[in-house]
Amino acid sequence: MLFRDRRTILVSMVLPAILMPILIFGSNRVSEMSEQAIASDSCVVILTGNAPDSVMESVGRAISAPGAAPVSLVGMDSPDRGMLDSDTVQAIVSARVHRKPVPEVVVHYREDLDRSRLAAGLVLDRLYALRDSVRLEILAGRGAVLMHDSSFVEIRDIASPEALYGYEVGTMAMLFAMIFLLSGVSVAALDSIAGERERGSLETLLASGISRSAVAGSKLAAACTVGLVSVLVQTGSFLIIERTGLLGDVFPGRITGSAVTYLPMLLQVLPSALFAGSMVLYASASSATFRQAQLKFLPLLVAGVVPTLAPLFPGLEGRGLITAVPVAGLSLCLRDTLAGRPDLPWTLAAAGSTLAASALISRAVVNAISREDILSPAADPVPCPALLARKAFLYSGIVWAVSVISSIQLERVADGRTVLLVNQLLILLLPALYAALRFGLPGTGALRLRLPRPTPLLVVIPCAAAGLILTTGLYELVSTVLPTGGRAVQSFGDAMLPGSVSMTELLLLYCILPGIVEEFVFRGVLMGSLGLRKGWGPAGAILASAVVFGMFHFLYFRIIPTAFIGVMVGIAVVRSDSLLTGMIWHASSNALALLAAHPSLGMDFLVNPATVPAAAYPAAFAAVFLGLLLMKPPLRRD
Amino acid sequence: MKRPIFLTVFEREMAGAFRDRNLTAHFILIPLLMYPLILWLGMTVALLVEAGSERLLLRIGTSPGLDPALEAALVSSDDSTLFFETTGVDPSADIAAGRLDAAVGPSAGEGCVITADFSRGRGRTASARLSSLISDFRERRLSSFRDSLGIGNRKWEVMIVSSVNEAGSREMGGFILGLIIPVTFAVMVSIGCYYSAIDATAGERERGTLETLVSTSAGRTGILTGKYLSVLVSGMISGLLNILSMFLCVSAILGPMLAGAGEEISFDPEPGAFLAALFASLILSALLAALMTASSSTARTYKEGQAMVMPTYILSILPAMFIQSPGLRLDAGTAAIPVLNAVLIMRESLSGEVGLLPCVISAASTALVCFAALRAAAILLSKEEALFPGEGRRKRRRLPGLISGRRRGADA
Amino acid sequence: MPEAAVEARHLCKSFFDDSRGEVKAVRDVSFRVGRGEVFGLLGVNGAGKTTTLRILATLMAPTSGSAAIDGHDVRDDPGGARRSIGYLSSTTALYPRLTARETLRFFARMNGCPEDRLAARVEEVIDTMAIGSYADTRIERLSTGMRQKVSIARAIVHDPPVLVFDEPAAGLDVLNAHEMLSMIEKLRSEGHAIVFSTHVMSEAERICSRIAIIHEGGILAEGTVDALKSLAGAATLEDAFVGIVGAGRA
Repeated sequence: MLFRDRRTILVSMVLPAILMPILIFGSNRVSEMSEQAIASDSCVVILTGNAPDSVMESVGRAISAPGAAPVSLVGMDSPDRGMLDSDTVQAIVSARVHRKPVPEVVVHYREDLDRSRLAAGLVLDRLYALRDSVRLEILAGRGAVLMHDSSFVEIRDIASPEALYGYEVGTMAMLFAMIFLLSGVSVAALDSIAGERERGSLETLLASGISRSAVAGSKLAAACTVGLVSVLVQTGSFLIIERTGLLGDVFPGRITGSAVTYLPMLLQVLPSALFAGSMVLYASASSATFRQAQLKFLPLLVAGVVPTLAPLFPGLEGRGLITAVPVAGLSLCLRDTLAGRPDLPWTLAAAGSTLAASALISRAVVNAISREDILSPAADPVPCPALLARKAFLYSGIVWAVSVISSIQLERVADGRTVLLVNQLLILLLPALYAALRFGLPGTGALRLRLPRPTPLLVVIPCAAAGLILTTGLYELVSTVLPTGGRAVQSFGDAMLPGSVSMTELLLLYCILPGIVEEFVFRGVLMGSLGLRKGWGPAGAILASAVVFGMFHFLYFRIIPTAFIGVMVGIAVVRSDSLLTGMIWHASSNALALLAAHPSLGMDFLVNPATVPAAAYPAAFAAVFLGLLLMKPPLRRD
Repeated sequence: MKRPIFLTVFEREMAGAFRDRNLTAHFILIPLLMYPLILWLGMTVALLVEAGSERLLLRIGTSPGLDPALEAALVSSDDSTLFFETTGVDPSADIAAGRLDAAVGPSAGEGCVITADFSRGRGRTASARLSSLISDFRERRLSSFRDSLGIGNRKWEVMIVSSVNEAGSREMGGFILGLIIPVTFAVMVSIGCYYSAIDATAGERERGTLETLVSTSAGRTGILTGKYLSVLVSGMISGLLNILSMFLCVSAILGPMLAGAGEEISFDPEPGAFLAALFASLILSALLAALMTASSSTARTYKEGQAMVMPTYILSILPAMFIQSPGLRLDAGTAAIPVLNAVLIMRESLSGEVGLLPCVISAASTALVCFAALRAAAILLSKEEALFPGEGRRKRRRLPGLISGRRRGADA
Repeated sequence: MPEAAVEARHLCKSFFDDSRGEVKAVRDVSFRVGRGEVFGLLGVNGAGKTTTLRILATLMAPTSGSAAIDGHDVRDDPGGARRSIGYLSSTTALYPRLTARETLRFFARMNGCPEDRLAARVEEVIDTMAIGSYADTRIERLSTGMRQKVSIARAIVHDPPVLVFDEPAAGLDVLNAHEMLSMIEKLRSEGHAIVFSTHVMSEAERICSRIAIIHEGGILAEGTVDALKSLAGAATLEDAFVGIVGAGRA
């Protein structure tokens, strides 16, 4: 069925197979040519200054020494800076003696002009070498013989050329494989559900008594086949170029495979194909038309490609915890396999995590196939809470993006307080208020705008304190997996706490305001509307809104701890059936953290993991648990 | 008074596009959401890499015979992520097996040898860190020699070497933006044209509205021109919105980051740059719109249109690969190459002024290609099999028809 | 016989097909249609009706033969022919995201209606077709019947003397089809020359002044309903059709 669409298949597979080598060859040639042009085209360096003749002479000799790139040296008394700007001269070296007896040699250049930048680098290298050799001469004159800097350290690489080449190729292998997989799969799968839905044949199919999972499964299998064929075609084309040297020395090596590496490689590519297939299929299943699905391809490409960049991280290898990250683990395993170190057990682990992710997405595909709102979309949806529930993530994403741009842009022109106010009031509160009113969220229902009973009010502040200790513990736990640089945390702390602000203002701006605004936005509007989603229930709404809440705290090491606070506060709000509980929790939690950070108050133990006794964690957990229990479920349950 | 047909068609195409929620979402949401997300991802990854490499624990072996002073210096260095242990004379086996990440041993002279496996990331990192530690050690040893021999500061300094970047902060800002923006610009203009070109041709045929349209008394040229203009405008909007969003994000994050690193950089291109950017997006959109409209004009379905537009799409990404090569500048020669000229104008406009002559040449070469492509599209569209290609599979009519006709004649 | 608004003379159209070689879709079709007349082309699927009508609408060029619309030859003066014709088929769709009124304005402009008469003409057509109640609703939100009425309005917005309807009632329910046919009768009474294709006997019987039975590209018989019945010696048009086609095949 699929392969009847000959033209499409041809264009999507054969064309890249022909174009890719040409692209690689072309870009290689162009960069080679321009490098050659720069190398053969001698750069002009002007030497000027009032240093003694001996210095001028040795500097001049050093600069114009024969080497890889020819330098033509011109002596000049008062060079014109305009010559640098027009790129007729690439560097001006001035050697001067001021009050200090040591001559100062300054290289003037333009960083933004390619030739000037290269020339300056060359000149600087030669000047440093000159200084080093003069020093060695001085030492030698006193009888101490030392080696040149360049020969002091010798680096011996024990990797075989094959392993090195495999490592280089392997670093990018999964990236390219994923691009080919996604584009191959999308030829087959992007149209398969949305297109059938559009043409009406999906209804026929669903009415025929075949189970939805069988429909999804067969489509997935077809998609993956096309994706894998596409990867095979590309690999074949790569191997041909590599073996025959058709394009010169673009690939200066040979990938060697053996029976030992084929199985791991299969285990690395196959789950990735399933992952790509299920993602594309989900895009198709959640769209009403092929065109609509088409528009989702770009985000998909980004989502698929990002984890394949894992091999670019320094020091990461295909073993350990990273194998739990879908695709990323496999990318690392593939590189290790290509570098001649296949590791079957870890490959299996990485394949397992990727397969699990694919299975989850596939389940979503099965659910989406028969979603009524996609099958017969309402032409003009009327604003209602249920619609808000469906659009909540999209709207959150937009607000998130706006807040990223605005806070960064604002930081350049305004102080921290203004940024905070704009962020809280204009970017968070305003859209949330608008959404609540426009989509008609019920005030005492979804929004939970009512006073809590006395018990929650009594226990909420102790709970917040205990919660803070737990969060600190969690932060510590998370940072064993996600490393946190000392510098990043430090700069975050500096940005958060401007020294010149009074304590009252701090409490108002950093505790009470966010407590009210963020609770209204995340626990009120977002959690309230998500709770209306079919089949989500309070648990799903609490978790999802907490994750979004975490994302709004941008820095990766804050996301999980903040989301954890979000979960606790979410439970408190649901159990006490009052948004006010959440507001108090949030405000007091911020206030406690702020006070704890204040050095003079001695409350460091709340947030400094070093001072938290190990026994505090179970105690805090018990306190939070008890407190949430005491907040009492609403009397009526439905 | 009559309105020109192309204007009527153009107006309808734009109304159709802007009323299509998906398409609008694509135009507005992608630039709005994508760059902050990429920015955030980039920042997160950068922080993670920094933190990760700070905490990457490495096992280093020291072989016997190594200069004890060097060994002591290494073991007592500040770098707490390096763990040293003594090994045999040849540590290769341990390194190959992954038990050690690198080893330091004596060399023939008074220097040393770092042994590492460069087919492992850890080996590369370990080797780099050791090199810098050893280089520091050598500096210190030189100074101690100097002190013990009583060499004066003046003689020892030899000379003070420094460098001054004469590029202004605005020029540097333009240079950095020029590394990132032109590539995205080309891709985004291309995507903007891509969807609307397919929609205006293959999409319209698939939905049956093309037949309605050509059954009116309006001239085909007018219809084609209107469609072409709408594709062009979509491309421009997409390109400009994307570079705007990207500009905001990139300048926001790079400015403070580079300022922190001691570079004075400002991201305020000169007013003329906006004009040049507008011009660049105009000629690029004009070109891609013409090529894409022409190549998708015979497609039967949206899907097929997509496949047929793909080569043009790839063509638009090509210059992105070349533009980073050093020394490539906008001159009379490069201005004559379509796509590349627009990308170069975009880049140069960010860092300086764009000459008039290259602009004129680019406009002329673009106009030439556009004209040829649109002529081809007009001829293709005027054929009836372009209108009803689905029926009777008449796609490859000419050649097989002739051949079979001749055969029939021969039989007779 | 009234003055001929449509005249087809010995129309032939052949295609080349990869597997079947030359296919003669229309062979030697001739007919004349006068003003105030509904001429029916009756035939089974694939008989050549659509191809004939597309030639009249200048969407296809005849391989041989000629046709003239209101005196404009489809080959020599396609623009003039298109101006004089309102063409509607089951495959001529409307833009889903325009409203009915915008659709009419758009097609009036496309057919060269001057700006100063545009608004008045569009309102006139909206009144004639009685689509005022949903004139400002987008097409994508209209029912099939409503859409078909807008389609007719679209075809007559430039007031062409000749209307070509290719199975206009296909896919419509009984009530909508009935209304459709009434509309065609009304247009006939206003003096339009109408060429109408169908494979539904009752439709043809109801509105056609004359009928041509077309089969495998050629016209087998032509005349009024009664003339065809008597020619085949049949009581109903359906029997007459089956008889004539059967005889033609034999």
